[in-house]
Amino acid sequence: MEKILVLIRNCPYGTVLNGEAFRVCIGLAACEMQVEAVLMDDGVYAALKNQRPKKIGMLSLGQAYADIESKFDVPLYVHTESLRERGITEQEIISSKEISTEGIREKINEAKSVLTF
Amino acid sequence: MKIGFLLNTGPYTFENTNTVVRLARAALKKGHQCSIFLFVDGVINASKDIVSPGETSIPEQLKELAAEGVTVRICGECAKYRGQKRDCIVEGSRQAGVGALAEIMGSSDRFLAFGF
Repeated sequence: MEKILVLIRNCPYGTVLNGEAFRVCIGLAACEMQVEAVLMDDGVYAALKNQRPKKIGMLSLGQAYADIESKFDVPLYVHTESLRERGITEQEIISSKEISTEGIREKINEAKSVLTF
Repeated sequence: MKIGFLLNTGPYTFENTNTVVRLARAALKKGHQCSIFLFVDGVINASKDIVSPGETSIPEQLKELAAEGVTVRICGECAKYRGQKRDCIVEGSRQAGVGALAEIMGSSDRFLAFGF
């Protein structure tokens, strides 16, 4: 099966992009495509634990991404350098796999298509 | 060759729409098949009531591409969130779900995404 890589570079809630990326991931996976997602740049903020977006009338993207692999079979990676640049520690993020810049490069090379949000 | 396009940005704000239209036209001239999926704000490109005095009509361009055989699909959920009804989209285009995007991606030899 050909791989689709979704790079999620925008922060959650500030724009619709992070949430739309999640929707695309689960939609494509439901169509039996092999999808992998990477949170990078400001996108890594979606991996923070204990998000409380109810106050702005939104659902938690943190919880959504926490369940994306178990519920929708979409492996989720969080870019190590982006976390480090923002001072976010491993303890502060949802359980997920970290990936280096080199790792992302390899995934881009392996993927048939790359979508960026 | 089959070429798929994903367009996430709206009309008259980014160069993306022009780029997609021109690439699709060039590809058609070379005998390739093209499909365009309009997503997020990209759905507005297909609003047939857009008025753009003195500027190129983007919906008209999409209509022409559709008439030349380009598959133009519009994310129905995104359209709903932007108040775009089915009878407001250009002739030859159709609202669809993310499944249509999957179909385009799966059948394309090359897939190009244009976003923010």
